[in-house]
Amino acid sequence: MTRQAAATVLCKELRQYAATGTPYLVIAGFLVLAAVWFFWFYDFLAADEASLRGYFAAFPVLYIVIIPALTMRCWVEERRAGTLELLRSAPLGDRAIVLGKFAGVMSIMALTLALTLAVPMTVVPLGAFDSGEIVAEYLGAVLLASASVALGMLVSCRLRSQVAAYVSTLLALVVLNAAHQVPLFVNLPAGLADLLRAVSLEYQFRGFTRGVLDTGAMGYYLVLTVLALYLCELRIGVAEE
Amino acid sequence: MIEVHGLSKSYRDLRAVDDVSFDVGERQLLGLLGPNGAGKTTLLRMLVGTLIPDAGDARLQGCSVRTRPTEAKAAIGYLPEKAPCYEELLVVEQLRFAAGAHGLAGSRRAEAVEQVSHRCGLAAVLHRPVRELSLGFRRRLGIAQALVHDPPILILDEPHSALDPNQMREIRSLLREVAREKVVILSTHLLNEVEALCDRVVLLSKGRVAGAGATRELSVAQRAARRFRMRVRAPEKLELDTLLREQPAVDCAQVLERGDRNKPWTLDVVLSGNQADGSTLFDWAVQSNCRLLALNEISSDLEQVFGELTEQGTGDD
Repeated sequence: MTRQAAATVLCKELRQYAATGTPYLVIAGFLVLAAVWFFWFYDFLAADEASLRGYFAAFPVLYIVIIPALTMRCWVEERRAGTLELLRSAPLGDRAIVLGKFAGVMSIMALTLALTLAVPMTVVPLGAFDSGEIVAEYLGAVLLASASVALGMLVSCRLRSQVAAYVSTLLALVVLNAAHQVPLFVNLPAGLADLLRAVSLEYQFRGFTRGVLDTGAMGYYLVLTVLALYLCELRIGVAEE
Repeated sequence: MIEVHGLSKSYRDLRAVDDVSFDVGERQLLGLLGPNGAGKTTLLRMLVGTLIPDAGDARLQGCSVRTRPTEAKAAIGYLPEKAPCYEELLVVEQLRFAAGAHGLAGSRRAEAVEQVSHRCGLAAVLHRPVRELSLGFRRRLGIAQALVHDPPILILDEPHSALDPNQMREIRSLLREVAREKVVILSTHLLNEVEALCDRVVLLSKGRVAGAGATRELSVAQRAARRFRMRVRAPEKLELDTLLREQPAVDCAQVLERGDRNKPWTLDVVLSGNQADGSTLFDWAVQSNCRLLALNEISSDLEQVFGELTEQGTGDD
Protein backbone atom coordinates (compact mmCIF):
# COMPACT_ATOMS: atom_id res chain seq x y z
CA MET A 1 0.00 0.00 0.00
CA THR A 2 2.83 2.39 0.93
CA ARG A 3 4.58 1.57 -2.34
CA GLN A 4 1.48 2.32 -4.41
CA ALA A 5 0.81 5.52 -2.46
CA ALA A 6 4.45 6.61 -2.85
CA ALA A 7 4.22 5.90 -6.59
CA THR A 8 1.14 8.15 -6.78
CA VAL A 9 3.03 10.98 -5.06
CA LEU A 10 6.05 10.35 -7.31
CA CYS A 11 3.94 10.69 -10.48
CA LYS A 12 2.53 13.97 -9.19
CA GLU A 13 6.02 15.23 -8.34
CA LEU A 14 7.38 14.35 -11.78
CA ARG A 15 4.47 16.10 -13.51
CA GLN A 16 5.13 19.18 -11.39
CA TYR A 17 8.87 19.07 -12.14
CA ALA A 18 8.14 18.72 -15.84
CA ALA A 19 5.99 21.85 -15.72
CA THR A 20 8.59 24.01 -13.93
CA GLY A 21 11.98 25.22 -15.10
CA THR A 22 14.03 24.39 -12.00
CA PRO A 23 15.01 20.79 -12.87
CA TYR A 24 16.09 21.76 -16.40
CA LEU A 25 18.28 24.55 -15.01
CA VAL A 26 19.72 22.27 -12.34
CA ILE A 27 20.54 19.51 -14.83
CA ALA A 28 22.05 21.92 -17.37
CA GLY A 29 24.02 23.73 -14.65
CA PHE A 30 25.41 20.48 -13.27
CA LEU A 31 26.47 19.14 -16.66
CA VAL A 32 28.11 22.39 -17.75
CA LEU A 33 29.95 23.00 -14.47
CA ALA A 34 31.15 19.39 -14.23
CA ALA A 35 32.41 19.45 -17.83
CA VAL A 36 34.10 22.86 -17.43
CA TRP A 37 35.80 21.65 -14.27
CA PHE A 38 36.97 18.38 -15.86
CA PHE A 39 38.14 19.60 -19.24
CA TRP A 40 39.32 23.10 -18.34
CA PHE A 41 40.39 23.44 -14.72
CA TYR A 42 41.42 19.79 -14.18
CA ASP A 43 42.68 19.73 -17.78
CA PHE A 44 41.93 16.05 -18.30
CA LEU A 45 43.25 15.95 -21.86
CA ALA A 46 46.67 17.12 -20.70
CA ALA A 47 46.68 14.95 -17.56
CA ASP A 48 47.51 11.79 -19.47
CA GLU A 49 45.51 9.45 -17.18
CA ALA A 50 42.88 6.87 -18.05
CA SER A 51 40.63 7.68 -15.11
CA LEU A 52 37.53 9.75 -14.38
CA ARG A 53 38.66 10.40 -10.79
CA GLY A 54 39.01 14.12 -11.50
CA TYR A 55 35.51 14.28 -12.99
CA PHE A 56 33.84 12.64 -10.02
CA ALA A 57 35.90 14.61 -7.50
CA ALA A 58 33.79 17.65 -8.41
CA PHE A 59 30.48 15.92 -7.65
CA PRO A 60 30.34 16.53 -3.86
CA VAL A 61 30.90 20.27 -4.39
CA LEU A 62 28.34 20.46 -7.21
CA TYR A 63 25.82 18.56 -5.09
CA ILE A 64 26.20 21.20 -2.37
CA VAL A 65 24.97 23.82 -4.87
CA ILE A 66 22.31 21.93 -6.83
CA ILE A 67 20.63 19.62 -4.33
CA PRO A 68 19.29 22.47 -2.14
CA ALA A 69 17.72 23.93 -5.31
CA LEU A 70 15.75 20.70 -5.77
CA THR A 71 14.80 20.02 -2.16
CA MET A 72 13.95 23.62 -1.19
CA ARG A 73 10.51 23.49 -2.81
CA CYS A 74 9.55 19.99 -1.59
CA TRP A 75 7.74 21.15 1.54
CA VAL A 76 7.80 24.94 1.32
CA GLU A 77 5.65 25.06 -1.82
CA GLU A 78 3.20 22.48 -0.51
CA ARG A 79 2.79 24.45 2.69
CA ARG A 80 2.53 27.83 0.94
CA ALA A 81 -0.17 26.59 -1.43
CA GLY A 82 -2.01 24.69 1.32
CA THR A 83 -1.70 21.42 -0.62
CA LEU A 84 0.22 19.68 2.17
CA GLU A 85 -3.04 19.62 4.12
CA LEU A 86 -4.78 18.09 1.12
CA LEU A 87 -2.00 15.53 0.75
CA ARG A 88 -2.04 14.59 4.43
CA SER A 89 -5.82 14.29 4.53
CA ALA A 90 -5.70 11.55 1.86
CA PRO A 91 -5.12 7.96 3.01
CA LEU A 92 -1.53 7.98 1.74
CA GLY A 93 0.35 8.10 5.04
CA ASP A 94 3.23 10.44 5.86
CA ARG A 95 5.79 7.75 4.98
CA ALA A 96 4.47 7.40 1.44
CA ILE A 97 4.43 11.19 1.03
CA VAL A 98 8.08 11.45 2.13
CA LEU A 99 9.16 8.48 0.01
CA GLY A 100 7.28 9.77 -3.05
CA LYS A 101 8.91 13.17 -2.77
CA PHE A 102 12.33 11.62 -2.17
CA ALA A 103 11.89 9.43 -5.24
CA GLY A 104 10.89 12.53 -7.23
CA VAL A 105 14.11 14.39 -6.41
CA MET A 106 16.19 11.23 -6.87
CA SER A 107 14.65 10.78 -10.32
CA ILE A 108 16.00 14.19 -11.32
CA MET A 109 19.39 13.26 -9.86
CA ALA A 110 19.33 9.91 -11.68
CA LEU A 111 18.54 11.67 -14.96
CA THR A 112 21.40 14.12 -14.32
CA LEU A 113 23.83 11.29 -13.64
CA ALA A 114 22.58 9.40 -16.71
CA LEU A 115 23.32 12.44 -18.85
CA THR A 116 26.86 12.64 -17.44
CA LEU A 117 27.47 9.26 -19.11
CA ALA A 118 28.22 11.29 -22.22
CA VAL A 119 31.60 12.15 -20.69
CA PRO A 120 32.83 8.56 -20.11
CA MET A 121 31.41 7.54 -23.48
CA THR A 122 33.48 10.30 -25.08
CA VAL A 123 36.75 9.72 -23.26
CA VAL A 124 36.81 5.94 -22.79
CA PRO A 125 37.94 5.28 -26.40
CA LEU A 126 40.99 7.47 -25.70
CA GLY A 127 42.63 5.09 -23.20
CA ALA A 128 42.49 1.92 -21.10
CA PHE A 129 39.85 2.90 -18.56
CA ASP A 130 38.89 0.56 -15.74
CA SER A 131 35.16 -0.11 -16.17
CA GLY A 132 34.93 -1.37 -12.56
CA GLU A 133 36.20 1.99 -11.32
CA ILE A 134 33.59 3.85 -13.37
CA VAL A 135 30.80 1.64 -12.01
CA ALA A 136 32.02 2.28 -8.44
CA GLU A 137 32.14 6.02 -9.13
CA TYR A 138 28.56 6.07 -10.36
CA LEU A 139 27.37 3.92 -7.46
CA GLY A 140 29.07 6.32 -5.03
CA ALA A 141 27.55 9.31 -6.84
CA VAL A 142 24.04 7.83 -6.47
CA LEU A 143 24.54 7.01 -2.78
CA LEU A 144 26.02 10.45 -2.05
CA ALA A 145 23.08 12.08 -3.85
CA SER A 146 20.65 9.96 -1.87
CA ALA A 147 22.11 10.98 1.51
CA SER A 148 22.33 14.65 0.46
CA VAL A 149 18.74 14.74 -0.86
CA ALA A 150 17.38 13.09 2.30
CA LEU A 151 19.27 15.62 4.43
CA GLY A 152 17.97 18.50 2.30
CA MET A 153 14.40 17.27 2.73
CA LEU A 154 14.87 16.96 6.49
CA VAL A 155 16.45 20.41 6.89
CA SER A 156 13.74 22.14 4.84
CA CYS A 157 10.67 20.26 6.09
CA ARG A 158 9.74 22.82 8.76
CA LEU A 159 10.81 25.98 6.96
CA ARG A 160 8.38 28.36 5.31
CA SER A 161 10.58 30.11 2.76
CA GLN A 162 12.44 28.65 -0.20
CA VAL A 163 15.41 30.95 0.39
CA ALA A 164 15.71 29.80 4.00
CA ALA A 165 15.37 26.18 2.86
CA TYR A 166 18.08 26.61 0.19
CA VAL A 167 20.54 28.38 2.51
CA SER A 168 19.96 25.99 5.43
CA THR A 169 20.45 22.90 3.26
CA LEU A 170 23.52 24.41 1.60
CA LEU A 171 25.08 25.16 5.00
CA ALA A 172 24.24 21.69 6.33
CA LEU A 173 25.84 20.08 3.27
CA VAL A 174 28.93 22.32 3.50
CA VAL A 175 29.41 21.31 7.14
CA LEU A 176 28.89 17.61 6.47
CA ASN A 177 31.16 17.62 3.40
CA ALA A 178 33.96 19.62 4.98
CA ALA A 179 33.94 17.96 8.41
CA HIS A 180 37.10 15.95 7.64
CA GLN A 181 39.04 19.15 6.98
CA VAL A 182 38.61 20.52 10.49
CA PRO A 183 41.60 18.53 11.88
CA LEU A 184 43.77 20.25 9.23
CA PHE A 185 43.17 23.60 10.91
CA VAL A 186 42.52 22.64 14.54
CA ASN A 187 44.53 20.26 16.69
CA LEU A 188 42.01 17.60 17.73
CA PRO A 189 42.32 14.29 19.58
CA ALA A 190 42.81 11.39 17.17
CA GLY A 191 39.43 9.86 18.03
CA LEU A 192 37.55 13.06 17.24
CA ALA A 193 39.47 13.57 14.00
CA ASP A 194 38.58 10.01 12.97
CA LEU A 195 34.94 10.67 13.81
CA LEU A 196 34.90 13.82 11.67
CA ARG A 197 36.38 11.88 8.77
CA ALA A 198 33.78 9.13 9.30
CA VAL A 199 30.86 11.54 9.08
CA SER A 200 32.23 13.57 6.16
CA LEU A 201 30.19 12.94 3.00
CA GLU A 202 33.07 14.01 0.78
CA TYR A 203 35.71 11.92 2.59
CA GLN A 204 33.55 8.81 2.37
CA PHE A 205 33.12 9.43 -1.37
CA ARG A 206 36.88 9.30 -2.05
CA GLY A 207 36.99 5.51 -1.94
CA PHE A 208 34.40 5.27 -4.70
CA THR A 209 36.41 7.64 -6.95
CA ARG A 210 39.34 5.22 -6.64
CA GLY A 211 37.11 2.35 -7.72
CA VAL A 212 36.76 0.88 -4.20
CA LEU A 213 33.34 -0.40 -3.14
CA ASP A 214 33.72 0.54 0.53
CA THR A 215 30.91 -1.20 2.43
CA GLY A 216 31.45 1.14 5.41
CA ALA A 217 30.84 4.19 3.21
CA MET A 218 27.86 2.52 1.52
CA GLY A 219 26.38 1.69 4.92
CA TYR A 220 26.96 5.23 6.15
CA TYR A 221 25.17 6.80 3.18
CA LEU A 222 22.27 4.35 3.46
CA VAL A 223 21.87 4.82 7.23
CA LEU A 224 22.00 8.60 6.79
CA THR A 225 19.35 8.43 4.05
CA VAL A 226 16.98 6.21 6.04
CA LEU A 227 17.45 8.20 9.26
CA ALA A 228 16.89 11.57 7.57
CA LEU A 229 13.76 10.33 5.79
CA TYR A 230 12.40 8.80 8.99
CA LEU A 231 12.93 12.06 10.91
CA CYS A 232 11.34 13.92 8.02
CA GLU A 233 8.27 11.68 8.28
CA LEU A 234 8.01 12.42 12.00
CA ARG A 235 8.50 16.15 11.52
CA ILE A 236 6.04 16.92 8.72
CA GLY A 237 3.13 16.09 11.00
CA VAL A 238 4.53 18.17 13.85
CA ALA A 239 5.23 21.08 11.50
CA GLU A 240 1.51 21.39 10.79
CA GLU A 241 0.64 21.88 14.47
CA MET B 1 -22.04 8.20 10.51
CA ILE B 2 -19.89 10.80 12.32
CA GLU B 3 -19.51 10.76 16.09
CA VAL B 4 -17.38 13.40 17.79
CA HIS B 5 -16.66 12.95 21.49
CA GLY B 6 -14.87 15.55 23.61
CA LEU B 7 -12.39 16.69 20.97
CA SER B 8 -9.86 19.21 22.31
CA LYS B 9 -6.81 20.85 20.80
CA SER B 10 -4.49 23.56 22.13
CA TYR B 11 -1.75 25.58 20.46
CA ARG B 12 0.61 26.44 23.31
CA ASP B 13 -1.58 28.58 25.63
CA LEU B 14 -4.50 28.89 23.21
CA ARG B 15 -7.33 26.41 23.60
CA ALA B 16 -8.46 26.28 19.96
CA VAL B 17 -11.04 23.48 20.39
CA ASP B 18 -12.38 22.68 23.82
CA ASP B 19 -14.35 19.51 24.54
CA VAL B 20 -16.46 19.52 21.38
CA SER B 21 -19.02 16.75 20.91
CA PHE B 22 -21.72 16.21 18.28
CA ASP B 23 -22.87 13.61 15.82
CA VAL B 24 -24.15 13.59 12.27
CA GLY B 25 -26.50 10.99 10.82
CA GLU B 26 -26.79 9.68 7.28
CA ARG B 27 -27.71 12.12 4.48
CA GLN B 28 -27.50 15.07 6.79
CA LEU B 29 -25.93 18.36 5.87
CA LEU B 30 -24.46 19.83 9.03
CA GLY B 31 -23.45 23.47 9.17
CA LEU B 32 -20.47 24.20 11.38
CA LEU B 33 -20.89 27.87 12.18
CA GLY B 34 -18.67 30.27 13.99
CA PRO B 35 -16.87 33.57 13.64
CA ASN B 36 -13.25 33.61 12.47
CA GLY B 37 -11.03 32.05 15.11
CA ALA B 38 -13.86 30.01 16.64
CA GLY B 39 -11.95 26.75 16.08
CA LYS B 40 -13.83 25.47 13.01
CA THR B 41 -10.76 24.76 10.89
CA THR B 42 -8.88 23.13 13.79
CA LEU B 43 -11.89 20.89 14.43
CA LEU B 44 -12.11 19.90 10.77
CA ARG B 45 -8.36 19.22 10.62
CA MET B 46 -8.75 16.80 13.51
CA LEU B 47 -11.63 15.09 11.71
CA VAL B 48 -9.62 14.68 8.50
CA GLY B 49 -6.55 13.45 10.37
CA THR B 50 -4.06 16.24 9.68
CA LEU B 51 -4.04 17.25 13.35
CA ILE B 52 -3.90 14.86 16.28
CA PRO B 53 -6.38 15.74 19.06
CA ASP B 54 -5.03 16.42 22.56
CA ALA B 55 -8.11 14.71 23.99
CA GLY B 56 -11.28 13.06 22.75
CA ASP B 57 -11.91 11.07 19.60
CA ALA B 58 -13.98 11.11 16.43
CA ARG B 59 -15.39 8.15 14.55
CA LEU B 60 -16.10 8.36 10.85
CA GLN B 61 -18.15 5.40 9.66
CA GLY B 62 -17.06 3.61 12.81
CA CYS B 63 -13.32 4.27 12.25
CA SER B 64 -11.51 6.22 14.96
CA VAL B 65 -9.30 9.06 13.72
CA ARG B 66 -6.85 8.06 16.46
CA THR B 67 -6.58 4.30 16.04
CA ARG B 68 -7.62 3.78 12.39
CA PRO B 69 -6.68 7.05 10.69
CA THR B 70 -6.11 5.56 7.23
CA GLU B 71 -9.56 3.95 7.11
CA ALA B 72 -11.14 7.12 8.49
CA LYS B 73 -9.38 9.20 5.82
CA ALA B 74 -10.55 6.84 3.10
CA ALA B 75 -14.18 7.61 4.05
CA ILE B 76 -13.71 11.36 3.62
CA GLY B 77 -13.61 13.83 0.79
CA TYR B 78 -12.08 17.06 2.06
CA LEU B 79 -12.00 20.57 0.68
CA PRO B 80 -9.63 22.70 2.79
CA GLU B 81 -10.14 26.43 3.19
CA LYS B 82 -9.08 28.38 0.05
CA ALA B 83 -9.36 25.19 -2.06
CA PRO B 84 -5.62 24.59 -2.55
CA CYS B 85 -4.53 23.20 -5.92
CA TYR B 86 -1.29 22.36 -7.69
CA GLU B 87 -0.85 25.36 -9.97
CA GLU B 88 1.56 23.59 -12.34
CA LEU B 89 -0.78 20.70 -13.14
CA LEU B 90 -3.62 20.47 -15.63
CA VAL B 91 -7.11 20.09 -14.16
CA VAL B 92 -7.27 16.48 -15.34
CA GLU B 93 -3.88 15.71 -13.79
CA GLN B 94 -4.99 17.17 -10.48
CA LEU B 95 -8.14 15.01 -10.52
CA ARG B 96 -6.15 11.91 -11.51
CA PHE B 97 -3.80 12.53 -8.62
CA ALA B 98 -6.69 12.99 -6.16
CA ALA B 99 -8.25 9.72 -7.39
CA GLY B 100 -4.90 7.90 -7.20
CA ALA B 101 -4.29 9.20 -3.68
CA HIS B 102 -7.50 7.43 -2.67
CA GLY B 103 -6.45 4.14 -4.23
CA LEU B 104 -8.18 4.34 -7.62
CA ALA B 105 -6.13 3.17 -10.59
CA GLY B 106 -6.45 2.32 -14.26
CA SER B 107 -9.91 2.36 -15.83
CA ARG B 108 -11.65 2.97 -12.46
CA ARG B 109 -9.63 6.15 -12.05
CA ALA B 110 -10.34 7.34 -15.60
CA GLU B 111 -14.05 6.66 -15.12
CA ALA B 112 -14.13 8.46 -11.77
CA VAL B 113 -12.37 11.51 -13.22
CA GLU B 114 -14.76 11.67 -16.16
CA GLN B 115 -17.85 11.36 -13.96
CA VAL B 116 -16.78 13.94 -11.40
CA SER B 117 -15.67 16.42 -14.04
CA HIS B 118 -19.13 16.29 -15.62
CA ARG B 119 -20.88 16.47 -12.28
CA CYS B 120 -18.90 19.53 -11.17
CA GLY B 121 -19.01 21.30 -14.54
CA LEU B 122 -15.30 20.95 -15.24
CA ALA B 123 -15.47 19.06 -18.54
CA ALA B 124 -14.71 22.17 -20.58
CA VAL B 125 -11.56 23.05 -18.63
CA LEU B 126 -10.14 19.56 -18.05
CA HIS B 127 -7.02 20.20 -20.13
CA ARG B 128 -6.34 23.71 -18.90
CA PRO B 129 -3.62 24.49 -16.34
CA VAL B 130 -5.01 25.00 -12.84
CA ARG B 131 -3.28 28.40 -12.59
CA GLU B 132 -5.52 29.73 -15.40
CA LEU B 133 -8.79 28.87 -13.63
CA SER B 134 -11.11 31.48 -12.16
CA LEU B 135 -11.93 31.39 -8.46
CA GLY B 136 -15.30 29.73 -9.15
CA PHE B 137 -13.71 26.95 -11.19
CA ARG B 138 -11.04 26.48 -8.52
CA ARG B 139 -13.75 25.88 -5.93
CA ARG B 140 -15.44 23.44 -8.32
CA LEU B 141 -12.11 21.68 -8.79
CA GLY B 142 -11.65 21.56 -5.00
CA ILE B 143 -15.08 19.98 -4.58
CA ALA B 144 -14.43 17.64 -7.52
CA GLN B 145 -11.22 16.32 -6.00
CA ALA B 146 -13.06 15.80 -2.72
CA LEU B 147 -15.75 13.83 -4.57
CA VAL B 148 -13.67 11.92 -7.09
CA HIS B 149 -13.40 8.71 -5.01
CA ASP B 150 -17.11 8.86 -4.14
CA PRO B 151 -16.63 9.11 -0.35
CA PRO B 152 -19.63 8.70 1.97
CA ILE B 153 -18.55 11.79 3.95
CA LEU B 154 -17.76 15.21 2.55
CA ILE B 155 -16.07 17.87 4.69
CA LEU B 156 -15.92 21.38 3.26
CA ASP B 157 -14.12 24.28 4.91
CA GLU B 158 -15.49 27.67 3.81
CA PRO B 159 -16.39 26.58 0.26
CA HIS B 160 -18.09 29.92 -0.43
CA SER B 161 -15.36 32.31 0.63
CA ALA B 162 -14.40 35.02 -1.90
CA LEU B 163 -17.04 33.92 -4.44
CA ASP B 164 -19.39 36.31 -6.21
CA PRO B 165 -23.18 35.77 -5.83
CA ASN B 166 -23.48 33.78 -9.08
CA GLN B 167 -20.62 31.50 -8.15
CA MET B 168 -22.12 31.07 -4.67
CA ARG B 169 -25.41 30.04 -6.23
CA GLU B 170 -23.65 27.48 -8.43
CA ILE B 171 -21.74 25.96 -5.52
CA ARG B 172 -24.94 25.94 -3.43
CA SER B 173 -26.82 23.96 -6.06
CA LEU B 174 -23.92 21.52 -6.40
CA LEU B 175 -23.85 20.98 -2.63
CA ARG B 176 -27.61 20.44 -2.52
CA GLU B 177 -27.27 17.71 -5.10
CA VAL B 178 -24.34 16.08 -3.28
CA ALA B 179 -26.12 16.21 0.09
CA ARG B 180 -28.89 13.94 -1.21
CA GLU B 181 -26.58 10.94 -1.01
CA LYS B 182 -23.78 11.86 1.40
CA VAL B 183 -23.08 13.20 4.84
CA VAL B 184 -21.77 16.72 4.47
CA ILE B 185 -20.12 18.96 7.06
CA LEU B 186 -20.03 22.52 5.84
CA SER B 187 -17.93 24.98 7.80
CA THR B 188 -18.80 28.62 7.22
CA HIS B 189 -19.49 31.93 8.91
CA LEU B 190 -22.29 32.78 6.44
CA LEU B 191 -25.65 32.33 8.15
CA ASN B 192 -27.62 32.66 4.95
CA GLU B 193 -25.72 29.75 3.36
CA VAL B 194 -26.43 27.62 6.40
CA GLU B 195 -30.09 28.54 6.29
CA ALA B 196 -30.28 27.72 2.60
CA LEU B 197 -28.44 24.40 2.79
CA CYS B 198 -28.14 22.78 6.18
CA ASP B 199 -30.45 20.48 8.14
CA ARG B 200 -28.57 20.93 11.38
CA VAL B 201 -26.17 23.44 12.84
CA VAL B 202 -23.37 23.34 15.39
CA LEU B 203 -22.37 26.78 16.62
CA LEU B 204 -18.77 27.16 17.69
CA SER B 205 -17.43 30.05 19.68
CA LYS B 206 -14.01 30.30 21.31
CA GLY B 207 -13.47 26.63 20.63
CA ARG B 208 -16.64 25.47 22.38
CA VAL B 209 -20.06 24.41 21.20
CA ALA B 210 -22.19 27.50 21.83
CA GLY B 211 -25.31 25.82 20.51
CA ALA B 212 -26.50 22.96 18.33
CA GLY B 213 -29.78 22.01 16.77
CA ALA B 214 -31.96 22.17 13.70
CA THR B 215 -31.38 25.12 11.36
CA ARG B 216 -34.93 26.33 12.02
CA GLU B 217 -34.01 26.89 15.66
CA LEU B 218 -31.05 29.00 14.62
CA SER B 219 -33.28 31.08 12.37
CA VAL B 220 -35.52 31.83 15.34
CA ALA B 221 -32.49 32.82 17.34
CA GLN B 222 -31.36 35.04 14.50
CA ARG B 223 -34.74 36.76 14.29
CA ALA B 224 -34.68 37.15 18.05
CA ALA B 225 -31.72 39.48 17.78
CA ARG B 226 -32.39 42.22 15.21
CA ARG B 227 -30.02 45.07 14.57
CA PHE B 228 -31.13 48.56 13.56
CA ARG B 229 -29.25 51.70 12.63
CA MET B 230 -31.07 54.88 13.65
CA ARG B 231 -30.52 58.62 13.26
CA VAL B 232 -32.24 60.62 15.98
CA ARG B 233 -32.34 64.29 16.89
CA ALA B 234 -32.68 64.91 20.62
CA PRO B 235 -34.41 68.16 21.79
CA GLU B 236 -32.16 68.59 24.82
CA LYS B 237 -28.93 67.26 26.19
CA LEU B 238 -29.67 63.56 26.60
CA GLU B 239 -27.51 60.46 26.68
CA LEU B 240 -29.53 58.53 24.14
CA ASP B 241 -27.48 55.33 24.35
CA THR B 242 -28.03 55.18 28.12
CA LEU B 243 -31.74 55.83 27.69
CA LEU B 244 -31.99 53.12 25.03
CA ARG B 245 -30.21 50.56 27.16
CA GLU B 246 -32.83 51.05 29.83
CA GLN B 247 -35.51 49.76 27.46
CA PRO B 248 -36.32 46.08 28.15
CA ALA B 249 -36.29 45.16 24.44
CA VAL B 250 -32.85 46.68 23.83
CA ASP B 251 -29.96 44.30 24.12
CA CYS B 252 -27.23 46.63 23.05
CA ALA B 253 -26.94 50.27 21.94
CA GLN B 254 -23.75 51.53 20.37
CA VAL B 255 -23.07 55.18 19.48
CA LEU B 256 -21.60 55.59 16.01
CA GLU B 257 -21.83 59.40 16.02
CA ARG B 258 -22.59 61.42 19.14
CA GLY B 259 -25.09 64.24 18.63
CA ASP B 260 -26.17 67.41 20.39
CA ARG B 261 -29.02 69.93 20.01
CA ASN B 262 -28.00 70.76 16.44
CA LYS B 263 -26.59 67.50 15.29
CA PRO B 264 -28.42 64.15 15.14
CA TRP B 265 -27.15 61.01 16.84
CA THR B 266 -26.32 57.86 14.87
CA LEU B 267 -26.68 54.63 16.83
CA ASP B 268 -26.69 50.88 16.23
CA VAL B 269 -29.27 49.14 18.37
CA VAL B 270 -29.75 45.39 18.85
CA LEU B 271 -33.25 44.34 19.94
CA SER B 272 -33.95 41.01 21.55
CA GLY B 273 -37.21 39.11 21.94
CA ASN B 274 -39.54 37.86 19.23
CA GLN B 275 -41.97 40.75 19.63
CA ALA B 276 -39.40 43.54 19.23
CA ASP B 277 -39.19 45.27 15.86
CA GLY B 278 -38.70 48.74 14.38
CA SER B 279 -41.93 50.02 15.90
CA THR B 280 -40.43 49.50 19.36
CA LEU B 281 -37.77 52.08 18.54
CA PHE B 282 -40.28 54.37 16.86
CA ASP B 283 -42.49 54.33 20.00
CA TRP B 284 -39.45 54.96 22.19
CA ALA B 285 -38.45 58.01 20.11
CA VAL B 286 -41.98 59.48 20.37
CA GLN B 287 -42.12 58.90 24.14
CA SER B 288 -38.65 60.41 24.63
CA ASN B 289 -39.63 63.48 22.63
CA CYS B 290 -36.93 62.73 20.06
CA ARG B 291 -37.27 63.12 16.33
CA LEU B 292 -36.52 59.91 14.41
CA LEU B 293 -34.78 60.89 11.15
CA ALA B 294 -33.93 57.41 9.85
CA LEU B 295 -34.44 53.83 10.95
CA ASN B 296 -32.98 50.91 8.97
CA GLU B 297 -32.75 47.27 9.82
CA ILE B 298 -29.24 45.97 9.16
CA SER B 299 -29.79 42.56 7.67
CA SER B 300 -26.70 42.12 5.50
CA ASP B 301 -24.13 41.95 8.27
CA LEU B 302 -25.00 38.46 9.36
CA GLU B 303 -21.56 37.70 10.63
CA GLN B 304 -21.89 40.54 13.11
CA VAL B 305 -25.26 39.30 14.34
CA PHE B 306 -23.85 35.82 14.58
CA GLY B 307 -20.86 37.11 16.55
CA GLU B 308 -23.24 38.47 19.15
CA LEU B 309 -25.15 35.19 19.30
CA THR B 310 -22.02 33.18 19.85
CA GLU B 311 -20.72 35.64 22.47
CA GLN B 312 -23.96 35.07 24.37
CA GLY B 313 -23.54 31.34 24.02
CA THR B 314 -20.26 31.13 25.83
CA GLY B 315 -20.23 34.07 28.17
CA ASP B 316 -16.90 35.64 28.94
CA ASP B 317 -14.75 32.56 29.23
